[in-house]
Amino acid sequence: MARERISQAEEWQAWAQRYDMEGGIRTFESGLTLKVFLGALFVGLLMMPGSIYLQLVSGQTGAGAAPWVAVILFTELARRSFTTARRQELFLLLGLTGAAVGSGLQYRGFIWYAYFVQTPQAESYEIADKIPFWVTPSPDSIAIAERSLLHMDWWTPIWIFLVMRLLGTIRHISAGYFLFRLTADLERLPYPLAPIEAQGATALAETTGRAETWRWRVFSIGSMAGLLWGFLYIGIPSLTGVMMSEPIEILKIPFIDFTPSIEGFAPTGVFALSTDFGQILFGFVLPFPIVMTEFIAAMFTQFFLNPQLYQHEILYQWRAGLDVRGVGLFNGLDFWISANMGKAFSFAIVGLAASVPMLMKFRSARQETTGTRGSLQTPPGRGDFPLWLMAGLWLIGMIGFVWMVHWMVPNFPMKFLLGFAFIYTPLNSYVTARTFGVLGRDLFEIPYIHETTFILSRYEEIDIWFVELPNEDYGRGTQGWRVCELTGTTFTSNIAAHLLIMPILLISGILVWHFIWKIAPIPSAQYPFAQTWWPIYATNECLWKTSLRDGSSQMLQAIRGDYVATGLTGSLAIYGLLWLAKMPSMWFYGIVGGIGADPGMMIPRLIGAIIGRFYMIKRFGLKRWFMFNPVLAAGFTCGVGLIGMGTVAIALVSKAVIVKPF
Amino acid sequence: MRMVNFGEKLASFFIIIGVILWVISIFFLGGRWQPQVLSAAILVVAIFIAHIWEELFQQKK
Repeated sequence: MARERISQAEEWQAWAQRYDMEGGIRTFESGLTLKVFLGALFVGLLMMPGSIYLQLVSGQTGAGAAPWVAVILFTELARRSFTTARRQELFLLLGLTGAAVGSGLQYRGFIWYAYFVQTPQAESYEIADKIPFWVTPSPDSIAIAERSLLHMDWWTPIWIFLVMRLLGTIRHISAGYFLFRLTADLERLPYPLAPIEAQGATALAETTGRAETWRWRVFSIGSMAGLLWGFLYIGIPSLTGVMMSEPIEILKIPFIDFTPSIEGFAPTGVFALSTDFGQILFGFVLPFPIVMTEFIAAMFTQFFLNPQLYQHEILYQWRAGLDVRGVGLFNGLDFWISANMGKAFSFAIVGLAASVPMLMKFRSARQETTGTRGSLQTPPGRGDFPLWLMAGLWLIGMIGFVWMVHWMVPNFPMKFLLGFAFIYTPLNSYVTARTFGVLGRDLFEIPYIHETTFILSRYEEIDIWFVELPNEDYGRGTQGWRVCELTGTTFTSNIAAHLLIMPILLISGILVWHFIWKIAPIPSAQYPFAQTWWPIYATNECLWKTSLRDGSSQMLQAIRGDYVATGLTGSLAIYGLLWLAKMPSMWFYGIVGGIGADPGMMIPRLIGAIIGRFYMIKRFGLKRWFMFNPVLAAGFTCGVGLIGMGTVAIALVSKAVIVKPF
Repeated sequence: MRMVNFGEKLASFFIIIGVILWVISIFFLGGRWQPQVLSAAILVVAIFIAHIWEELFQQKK
């Protein structure tokens, strides 16, 4: 009997419905209230200095756990005040806290270059006197001698940073929204990892209400599992590392390497078993066909394809006894960096092929009902914007950005800036948006694109290395819009909250860095992580910035047209054959995503997918399981995050204690 | 009805041609990029035809 063809439209629609909490029926409310704003301010002024300080002392920011800590604190305050917290409020608080903790680290560049310009490395590589005035004041400036960010000499770097930040916010909001409408509304891609973030806020919001539902129970189970796992996997090594010279690892972190064990029968194959079994929870959530096909394709690559490539001397640098990092590096240089680039382009082509016919039906799409594939109709009350407005805002933001870059490096050829801004960035962002919509991760990356550009442009000045080029990726931001939609938060309130807090964070960030710098020089003994690593980073930066002086780079030589074409055409052939065989298009993303990857890294997710598919769905039923698992994963993330933050705090206290010799 | 089947058959034909050409370019032409890109172009045309047919002409059950 002939297999019935299921169109991609029907396939994606079915998956999107599975991942749509509450069956797509929701009302939208604003999450921006005075409570949330004050809560975020508290976080901005208290947690940001902590995360900056942690980064300099221990190299960890606590950024993963900070939003959860803020939200738990907020819900506890709400409970004790006999009031409730809505999920829209908690979602915004999560987002604002993450932004606050992250924003503090953006200013690291000022202090870093103030240090870098004075290093002997920068001097010996003849870079120190060529660092532009818009990056840092000169080494003999009073601003650097006095360690003050509030000095006039910092005026130019700071105002350039602020203008860039403003233009960047405009671009990221507008382009992210535009791509979200294309991928989530028009194409109905499922965004499998979005419900995890959404369900965390929803479950915690329920704790403040009178009626607790299954969500809080499932979230608590996930949190306890996360606490337990976090303690075993992160807590014990961190705490024993404080007390002993060698930390105790119950499970080897991050993987157990079997690569030397398989080299006898699969030379050039890699197999490193990931010990992060927390990934099992994400295996529950991800679509089963993707996890399965990805694993099979990875096994095929490492145990059959790579040995064949070795026999034909395409993988030629391999030698016996190498571990996973060595084999991976040589395989990448010989073949896989190029092939992966070709693979990534195939995602763009397949995405465009799926989108173009829908855009051809654009007129009828406007009349389709909301929530069906091919419809651009928006749900009522979501707080949407006209697409032309967002496209226009992005254009203004990008033109401003390109003009700024041109002003900073006037002799760099404009055609490269325009190519990055108006060809590469839209393409890159669209592909990433699609891979996030299907796989929940990024797959499109062209390695050494800056270096390639600098060589092609024949531009020899060192200032180009210090400028931010207009090659951006808005694709991963589309998942945030999807989470916003799933929590029922109006888009307008989400944008308003971020715009309101932005000036506060910009100013407080500069002040905090100023005061931390005033305490002691960075790096110095007060900041052990910076003292250990910043000199090494300075050497690396010098090496990179001078790597093209002689016109050659080993990495660039690794990119070969024949292999890029193989990756591209092979992937398109796989897509075509799957279409011929009437197989689901999800298989394509799984197979092509898995080719060249390490199967050992996928095993925890595979275990989760198998348990979910063959036990949990039978036990709870498909619908209930798809409701449970994002909540469980959100609770797990929260539990692991809390353990991470707790252990960092203990490690910090222990480092702050000075042992007297008497 | 004729248009409905024609789109699917045309896409299938191009896919088969593209895949065969790619296999030939790998095993008999030394994997050079020129013939590979030619087969990629044929496959791209096939994939676009397939999607246009699916979205615009395939009969909905």
